[in-house]
Amino acid sequence: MSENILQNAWLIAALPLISALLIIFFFNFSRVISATLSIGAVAYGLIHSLLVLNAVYQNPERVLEVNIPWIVAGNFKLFVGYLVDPLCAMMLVVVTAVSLFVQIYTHGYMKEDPGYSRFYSYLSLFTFSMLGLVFSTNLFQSYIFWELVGVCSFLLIGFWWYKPSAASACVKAFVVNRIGDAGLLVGILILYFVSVSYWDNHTTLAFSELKNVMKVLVDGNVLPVVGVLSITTMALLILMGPMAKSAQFPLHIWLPDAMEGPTPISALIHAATMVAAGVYLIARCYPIYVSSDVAMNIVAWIGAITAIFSASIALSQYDIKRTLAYSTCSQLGLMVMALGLGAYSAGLFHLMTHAFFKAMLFLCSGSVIIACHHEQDMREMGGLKKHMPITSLCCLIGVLAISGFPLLSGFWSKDMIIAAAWEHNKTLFVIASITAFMTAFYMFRLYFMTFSGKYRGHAHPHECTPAITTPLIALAIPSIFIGFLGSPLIPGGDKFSAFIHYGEHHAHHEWGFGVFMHELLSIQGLVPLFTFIVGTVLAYMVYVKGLGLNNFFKDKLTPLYKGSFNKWYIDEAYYGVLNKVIMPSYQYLWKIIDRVIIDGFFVNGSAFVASFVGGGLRYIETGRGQFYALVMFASVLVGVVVSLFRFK
Amino acid sequence: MMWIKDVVSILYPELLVLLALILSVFLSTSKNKSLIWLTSTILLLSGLVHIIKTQIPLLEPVQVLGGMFIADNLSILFRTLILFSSILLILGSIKYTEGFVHKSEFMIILLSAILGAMLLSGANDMISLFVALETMGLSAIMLVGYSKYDKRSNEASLKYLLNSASASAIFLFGLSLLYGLCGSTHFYEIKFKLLQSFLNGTVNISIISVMLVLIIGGIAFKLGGAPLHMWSPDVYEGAPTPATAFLSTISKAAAFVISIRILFNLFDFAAYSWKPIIIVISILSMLIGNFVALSQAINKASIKRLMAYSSIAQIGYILIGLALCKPETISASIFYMVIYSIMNMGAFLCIMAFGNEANSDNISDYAGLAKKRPLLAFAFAVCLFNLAGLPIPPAGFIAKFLLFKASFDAGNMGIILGSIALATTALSVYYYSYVAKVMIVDEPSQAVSEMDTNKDSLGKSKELNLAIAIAVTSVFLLAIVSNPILKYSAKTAQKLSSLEHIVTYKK
Repeated sequence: MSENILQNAWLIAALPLISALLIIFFFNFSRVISATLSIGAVAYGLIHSLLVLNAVYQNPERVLEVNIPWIVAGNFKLFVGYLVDPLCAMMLVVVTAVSLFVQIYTHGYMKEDPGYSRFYSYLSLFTFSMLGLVFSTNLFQSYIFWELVGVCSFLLIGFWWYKPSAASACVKAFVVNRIGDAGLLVGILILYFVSVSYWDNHTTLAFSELKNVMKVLVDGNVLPVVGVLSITTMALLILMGPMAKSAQFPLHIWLPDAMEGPTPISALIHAATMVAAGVYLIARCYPIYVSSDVAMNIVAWIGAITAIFSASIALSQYDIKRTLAYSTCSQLGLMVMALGLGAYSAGLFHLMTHAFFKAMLFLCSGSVIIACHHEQDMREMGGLKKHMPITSLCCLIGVLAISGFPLLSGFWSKDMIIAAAWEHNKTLFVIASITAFMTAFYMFRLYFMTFSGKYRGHAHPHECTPAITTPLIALAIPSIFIGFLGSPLIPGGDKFSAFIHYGEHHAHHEWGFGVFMHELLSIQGLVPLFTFIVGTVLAYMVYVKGLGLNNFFKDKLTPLYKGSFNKWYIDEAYYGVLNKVIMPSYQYLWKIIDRVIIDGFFVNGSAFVASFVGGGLRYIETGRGQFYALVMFASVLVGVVVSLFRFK
Repeated sequence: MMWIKDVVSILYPELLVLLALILSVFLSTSKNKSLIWLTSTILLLSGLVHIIKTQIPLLEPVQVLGGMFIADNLSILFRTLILFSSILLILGSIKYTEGFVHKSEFMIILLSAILGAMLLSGANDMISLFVALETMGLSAIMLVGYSKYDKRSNEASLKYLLNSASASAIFLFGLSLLYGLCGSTHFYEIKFKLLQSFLNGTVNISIISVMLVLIIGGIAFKLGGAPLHMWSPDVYEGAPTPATAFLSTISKAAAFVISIRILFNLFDFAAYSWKPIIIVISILSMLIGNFVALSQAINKASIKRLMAYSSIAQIGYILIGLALCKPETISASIFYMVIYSIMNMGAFLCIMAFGNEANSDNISDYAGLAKKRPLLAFAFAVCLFNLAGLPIPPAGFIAKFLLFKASFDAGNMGIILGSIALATTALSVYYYSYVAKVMIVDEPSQAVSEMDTNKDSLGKSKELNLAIAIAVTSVFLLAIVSNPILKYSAKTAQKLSSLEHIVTYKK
């Protein structure tokens, strides 16, 4: 039975593809059929994923890897297939669960949109691509699906393409991701070419072979560990892909702008699943990173910088979705940092918990935005608790979870990361703690500005339809409880780390309330709790009791405030560098290279040659059949004469 | 009576085509003329199912009719391909034939041309080879001239007749020399006797290479390789579009099979003497085809003329694999030919659809097609991009990639050929995407904007749209599941001949 479930796991990804194609080609006239197909496919996927998770959990050693040759030509082989292991099983459940709830929510959110069916077909297509990425057995296959999720994200950010901001946001996302993907592709190619003989009798670029390949590369001294062309450069080039997808500094700039897309998309793609794909890819390529300490350190530092940097921007934003977007960046930074520190399980644990509560927070923001008639500015909200009890309760749960309120899901996963930082690198521990403090502050700022106090806008807010509130409630449950999987309070101790780990795992099997208290009362347990309390209280004082701290920052520490408010001028810096440095030098070079060499020589030259040769040859085509026959006989005659002389 | 059973089981698809032909003759005299395409499609389809189910799994080659016809991997693969593209072509030409004065005979001649092409793929004897070649050639001449009251069609037909006759004469001269040397018509016997007398020293290499020049000349005419390509632009442009589609895909596929059979089954020991000929043809085809196609695109000439030069260029690429005579390159060539046939057929079906609706085949008239018929423009763009080798979807890209990679791995000559191919491919991207750009970006032309109101046009055709859908879907599918065909062509190339002999027999 369980073998059957595993063998047929590909159905989870196949059904959304089929439903997407059916909607695009046949059912785009009917809203009901589109929604039913799309939701049905992913609902099946969730059930099957849960069965797969159960089957894998019963027997974690049983890793199913099916490889189907795609192109085989001599030594050159490419495979596609599906890999079912603990990491994949966990991601399957996360993706299908979030996707299911978001798709139900979409019915409520998009019901008046003329592109309703098209939206569902894109959602299905995205779900397929994301599941394909999760199932990938090798780097090559993941690259294909990596591009596919990128395309889906492009399509969905630009869903309201007639809005200029949405159109430019989707282009920005695409261009930034292109930079990352170029690095990823070069990294994969380096890996392929340095180990090309190894792949002769193994599945090309398979994740399961990476460990052995790295061993061969390091032991055989094929590549130095550090150097210009080394394992470190390869790892960092591969890292560029995750940096762009998971919005890591300095390639994070597309994610806040991507909030121009419909809110369900922000929840599904830009909070829970696609942006986590980068973290997932780092986890899959972990053997490459582990081989180089330098690469691991850089990964950790990039994560840490992203975490604190984005959190500092989120402190002063007024757009509710942008605040959440920067918070996503910051949390993704924490996950990447955890992976860089070697805390493999902790990073992926946070990925899972974050997917649930961040998706829910985005859906809450969507609910608020609908209630306020498409107003996204938090200054125009406030006091919505009275009007929207369910949304405000769910949002509170999400805010508590992300800020690390004890026993909620975010508390466990964030604690695990901070504890890992304490163990490995004290500087990063400080950065992570400051980030945690900022997180608590800006999340409660968001909550208080939106839900408490008096309503400052001009619309008539009201609670939304069940299609919107049901997914919120459904996502609130895992947001509260899923963290216990990694806690010492359940029998058997930290189940998550025992299930998903890299190499020998550090999961502690002792459990019970005493263990929990013991861990909580250590420094690495008390600091996050303390930051949570300080951040929350501070936010309460400032935004409910009217403590003038924000005005103090605005008036007295203007540079800091302005920096945070203007996202530390990163966009402007890119723009400036592009306009002031790259474009002028490009124009200068263009004058020399393009006008003289390319235009003058290659283009005009080849155009001249082409038109001369082509035009000349055209005139040989006289249109006279006799002449053609003559050419035919003449060329055969030349051939005969030449071959007679050749073998004289 | 075992042999009848064998003949029927192997020649079943051909017999079905023959049956379709006979039925069409009867139906064309009755009132139910519209049934012709239906019966033909059904019969060809059942032939396709039969060949896939019973012949593809065959492990050993089977000879029937006293060795006249052989069903080895090569012939099975290409007969399947020809059947598949014929079904598309028949579906696509239904609407087109309504424009003729005599409607129903077109299908009969088309069927006989298909029959010739299929028999040619399996010919293993000089007599069956020549008969099949002429069945195909003569039918094609009639197809080209079928538009009786169209001057261009008549002119094209006459030119094709003249040139085809000359090429046949050259080819037949080569075959007669071969017969004179060996006294046999069966390929295996010829091979045996030729090798024997060659090793004895009774036959010298000069006479063999003269013979090879003549035979290759005859085949190169059918393939449309330079410098024997000159008929093709005029004929392609003047002929009715279904006839052009037939000439550029099915006829080329059959000629490709026969060139492999002659070069590798008969003359593998003389590879060093025919290699330079194929290399010259390949280089000339790539250069001439691409350069002139470029100037056709710049001058906004007829799309059919552009496709004529493009198919000359494509033949140049395909011949690279034969010229290098390594199993990998041959298998890459076979794979390329399969992909090329399908995407080229798709492109011609789109040209037919546009011609039916807009009454034009001028490139500038395609402007703005995407605004009027987005799906047709999409399908045509997919086919064009694949012909250019762009990875959208990657069927054409995989074919080009494998061919170029195999060629770069095959020594110095391979690197030279591969570099020329790469450079000219870059040129070809321009003219293919130029047509796509005209369709998608430009403002609608007069022909396009009058598509719905045009009284002279033949209008839309459901069958043609179905054929385009099948062709484009198979381009997409081939990109995803290319491996079975790759495996089959690798197996074919392996079995062709023990190619290591080439070295041993030299001198």
